[in-house]
Amino acid sequence: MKPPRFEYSAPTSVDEALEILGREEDATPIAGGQSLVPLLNMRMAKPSVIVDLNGVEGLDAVEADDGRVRIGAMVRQRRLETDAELRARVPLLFDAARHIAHVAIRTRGTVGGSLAHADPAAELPAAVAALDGRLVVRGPDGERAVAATDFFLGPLMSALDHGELLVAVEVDPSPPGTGSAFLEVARTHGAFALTAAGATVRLGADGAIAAAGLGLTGVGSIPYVPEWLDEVVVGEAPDASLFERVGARVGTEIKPYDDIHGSADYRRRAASVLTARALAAAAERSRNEVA
Amino acid sequence: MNRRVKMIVNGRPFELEAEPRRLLADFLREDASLYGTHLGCEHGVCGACTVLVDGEPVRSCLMLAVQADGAEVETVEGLADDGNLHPLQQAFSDHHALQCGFCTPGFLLTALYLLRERPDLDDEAEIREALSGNLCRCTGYKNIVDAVRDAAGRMREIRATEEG
Amino acid sequence: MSWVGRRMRRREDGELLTGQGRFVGDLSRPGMAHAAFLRSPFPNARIDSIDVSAATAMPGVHAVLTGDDLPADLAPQPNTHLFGERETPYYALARGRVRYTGEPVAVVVADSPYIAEDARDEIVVDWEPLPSVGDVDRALDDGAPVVYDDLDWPDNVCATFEKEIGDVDRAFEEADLVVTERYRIQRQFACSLETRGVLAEWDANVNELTLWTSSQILHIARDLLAQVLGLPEHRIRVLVPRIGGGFGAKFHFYPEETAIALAARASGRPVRWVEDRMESFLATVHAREQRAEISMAALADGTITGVKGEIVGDMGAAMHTVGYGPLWLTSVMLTNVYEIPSARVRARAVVTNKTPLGSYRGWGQPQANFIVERTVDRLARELGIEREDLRRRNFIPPERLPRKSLHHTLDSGDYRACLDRALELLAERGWRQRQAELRASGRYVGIGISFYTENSALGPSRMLNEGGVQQGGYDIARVRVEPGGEVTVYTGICEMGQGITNALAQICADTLGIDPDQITVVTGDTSQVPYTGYGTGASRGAAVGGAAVARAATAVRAKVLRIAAHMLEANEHDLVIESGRIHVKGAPEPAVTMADVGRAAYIRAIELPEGEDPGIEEIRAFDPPQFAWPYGANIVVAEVDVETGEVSLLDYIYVHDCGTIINPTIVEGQIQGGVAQGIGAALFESLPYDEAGQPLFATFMQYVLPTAAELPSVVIEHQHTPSPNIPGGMKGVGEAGAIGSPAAVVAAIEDALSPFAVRINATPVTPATILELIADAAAQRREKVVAGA
Repeated sequence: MKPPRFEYSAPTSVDEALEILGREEDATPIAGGQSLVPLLNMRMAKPSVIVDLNGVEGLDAVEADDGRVRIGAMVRQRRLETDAELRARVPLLFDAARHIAHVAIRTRGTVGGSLAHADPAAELPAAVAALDGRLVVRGPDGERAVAATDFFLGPLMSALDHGELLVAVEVDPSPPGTGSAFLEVARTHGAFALTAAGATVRLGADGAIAAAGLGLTGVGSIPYVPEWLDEVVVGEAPDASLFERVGARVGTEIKPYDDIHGSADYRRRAASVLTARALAAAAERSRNEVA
Repeated sequence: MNRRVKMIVNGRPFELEAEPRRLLADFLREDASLYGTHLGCEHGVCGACTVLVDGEPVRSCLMLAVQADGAEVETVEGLADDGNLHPLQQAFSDHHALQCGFCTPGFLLTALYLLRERPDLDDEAEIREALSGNLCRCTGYKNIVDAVRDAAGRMREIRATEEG
Repeated sequence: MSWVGRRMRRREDGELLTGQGRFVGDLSRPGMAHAAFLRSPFPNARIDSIDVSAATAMPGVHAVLTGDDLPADLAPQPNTHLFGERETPYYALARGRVRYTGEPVAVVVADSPYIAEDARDEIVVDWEPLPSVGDVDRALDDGAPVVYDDLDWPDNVCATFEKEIGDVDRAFEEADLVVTERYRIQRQFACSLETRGVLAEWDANVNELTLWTSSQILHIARDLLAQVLGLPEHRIRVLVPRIGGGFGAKFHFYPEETAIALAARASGRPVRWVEDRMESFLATVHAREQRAEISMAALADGTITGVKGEIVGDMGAAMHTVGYGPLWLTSVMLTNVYEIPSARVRARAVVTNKTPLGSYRGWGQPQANFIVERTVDRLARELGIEREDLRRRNFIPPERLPRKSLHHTLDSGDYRACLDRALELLAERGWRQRQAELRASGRYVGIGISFYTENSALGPSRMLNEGGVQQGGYDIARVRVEPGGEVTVYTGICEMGQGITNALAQICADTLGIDPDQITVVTGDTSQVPYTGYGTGASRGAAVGGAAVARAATAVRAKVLRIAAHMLEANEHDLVIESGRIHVKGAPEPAVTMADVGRAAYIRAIELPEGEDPGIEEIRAFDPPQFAWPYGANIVVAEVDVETGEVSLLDYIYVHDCGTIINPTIVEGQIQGGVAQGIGAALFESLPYDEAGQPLFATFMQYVLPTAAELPSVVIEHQHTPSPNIPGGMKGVGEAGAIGSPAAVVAAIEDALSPFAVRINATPVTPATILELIADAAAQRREKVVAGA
């Protein structure tokens, strides 16, 4: 299990990286390498050139203002756990990051790498989708923003075109009083999710739900986000039966897959349960925040 | 094309030519002759090859040697101080936290980082979760968990003595 | 004061903790090259041709070998456990036909593993895929692809074993209750963290082969290599460096050991091969897979009067080193520790297009334990008797031991006292009450019990040979006093992480009256250590290896005392050795030291008694007259999340008796580790194939090993009934933890789910299977209601 031969290039700017990626048909960018290097070791990926983004300037910044939080593609997943300010602004990313494999993976693994890899069982795509995030993509013709719900196209398939690079993800900061939760079922701690649900809930002064978000992973080829969520829950009291109804409806809409760890039917049922529980947990946290 | 790679390993400089595809683990083992870093899976699951790069734990099977150019690397060989076992190593021996010893270097480095980050750590469930990225097939983990918890206490005592 | 029984830190820890332990993958020889194997991508195929020209032409490649390059007189890989089965010949590299995905087809020797893999990828094979079978039930169907069609087998049944005691038919006719259950135990494997590795160096000048290998069977590996290569044994030296866990899978002699030896000869260089993790899932023996149907007959008072078993073992594509030994052992363990007067079992070893089956901690006994203990639970439920009461009623009582069981003779102990103590601990920890409280609050908490015995201290050589094993069961040890008075012990038992050198040093220290730190234990080199009959497995290291060391040390002691008596001008029978000083009992002065005696024995013959040979070195064998039978109770408390199917193990109680304990710390470590593997079997680990025999696993993403976050701390208590058959009384403990744990874990889950009345007869029990079981049980209840209406 040793990688095949490849050329290696370590650009220092995004433009330089784009130039190489555009020029070489089989060039592959490497971010944290926590998905790519296993594929190299298994010789399931055989790129001609590896373009290392670790030395590229300007990709590892977290910028925040009132309107948005922009997380550079090369920000390590570990930072989502350890950056208290970021956690306060977008708590769901903190909750989700803790489920990504293990610390020694998260210290290398990047936010952008996980999103661009578009693994249907990964945590961050679902969390960013639940947050209604935007993926900032740069190509030879400049930058474009893609809504998370449009970015993920299928298993390991995204809206990134050849020669394009994901440079950042932007999410709206969660308003004060927002509760979040990310719940996952996996065979063992840190293993890929069988299924997982991330939720945010903000309760209004009247105790009813003022805003909510929901995203699931491991339930199909792309993250699942119910478009009808606001319609069903906003203005309602945050009680268990409401969340169970949401869970049940999610179960009817997702199209999960079978694998050796669990049937599609299992994923459907577990996803329903996790949906209800995650919404309830998020609502509970919102209640505590407000109180 | 080979590239020149420089790194500080356990405080000593290493400078060698490496193919871009050479894994950091192979660089440490075969080029720096530090065989204590073990390869158990080469796909990032078992944790046996865990080393610290610039103070943070990484899977040396999932990092290219060229990516560690300029970095400071800590491996199991750097833990003992002048023949004296590190408190973690001593606790592992005292608690019979190793059998075949193949996974042990990875556990030690994972725990070293953990206790640097969380010197107050004492909760069994937290320790178990923090160690869950390292597989052991011999011990059933109990003694490793006990050893890490004990080592945390020993290291707190040492710090208190040094500071007092 | 005795060293045996003491908790001692291990001698190898310092080396292993500082990264200085050297495993095969850490070894290097001048000019060494590296190997990579090309393996079959098909479960069954003919090889029409192989083109290695592009691979051979690559820079840095030294040799490429295929089946066509094997010596014409190369023997097939041997099976040493001949229990009356058809022959399933296979070679170091496939010769024109492969029968499982992963079978070695070619080996490349190159400057680095990287280049070896590059060249491997350039080999072009013209395959002709053939129909294949990956499921044992399908393999038994009429018209199924026949795995050995080229050897004119009529079907896929490689062997059938039958055994019967008592009047089984009558027991079932006269029973008040008969229960019948079907079980399915999945494919798993030992999965040591260190994969296998081989380093071979062939000295062409003297035609001598040196082979470093991660093997539990030092001498057997050498002898089998000699047999396959047609070399005399003394032309081959096998060395075993540090092993990163064995658990039985390294008890086998593998095609790669032969192939790497041949690659070293062909390339004229030392060649090292370290199995990579992906190939380990296909190239290292698998284990456990069985289907069983078992019936038990009982009287209304709970007396079990008969057991019948029909077991099918999915052996994969060939009989590996131990043949169908584990399946055989499953079948003769169907009476467990119970006084069941009648039993009948039929076991069929069936070949399929899958990786060959072999050894893994417990060797067939976890399966036997699972199917027996789960059936005893079922019987208890049907009879309305508490599970522990049913077991107590049927245990062989201490006064009737030793007693012949279905096949073996159980030796000694008090099963009831052991189970009672475990139940006491359960009560002390408040679980019955806590379970009731938790259940009342809507949680699903269950308690599971199992009781095991283990066939250990293997074993009496004559019994092994009579049964068909082409190996002895004895062990030989050599003990030497060095000129400086230190002592060296040489043993054929291999150190693979179980800490055996510590145990042997403690035994030797007691016999000689010296400190263990004065003793060096040498293992792992056929040029240095005495022959071992059976290698390192079957929980025999401490019992059989230890008894051999005690014998040799006893002989050494006699000579030490003779020499010391002469030096002290005392009667040797009056002397004692205490901490290395030899003096008349009760009179510490005058004394001589072991160093004084050593000097006399080697350097100053003038100090030796008349007629005494110089040197102090004794070699003794021990061949056990009987097996030993450790036993124990597992009690598990588990909670199930009935909405997600997740299982948490809340507590684990383990009370056992393995006879004399040499080092309790090591024994407890063995149990913790064995239980972890049993939990892995119950909940996590599986090697599934599709119907045609293509593996549905490739990496640790599919083969799930439990982590620290899933496993419980096991509460362990020891009881002590010394083995009557082993000097020192040791019974062995290496495999014990893995045997009773799957049944207990599954029983706890079933108990937790008792409101749903599910039956769990298959492993692993995953979150998905739990939800399916609950749904199925609900559907069955609905059907009953409908049928009732």
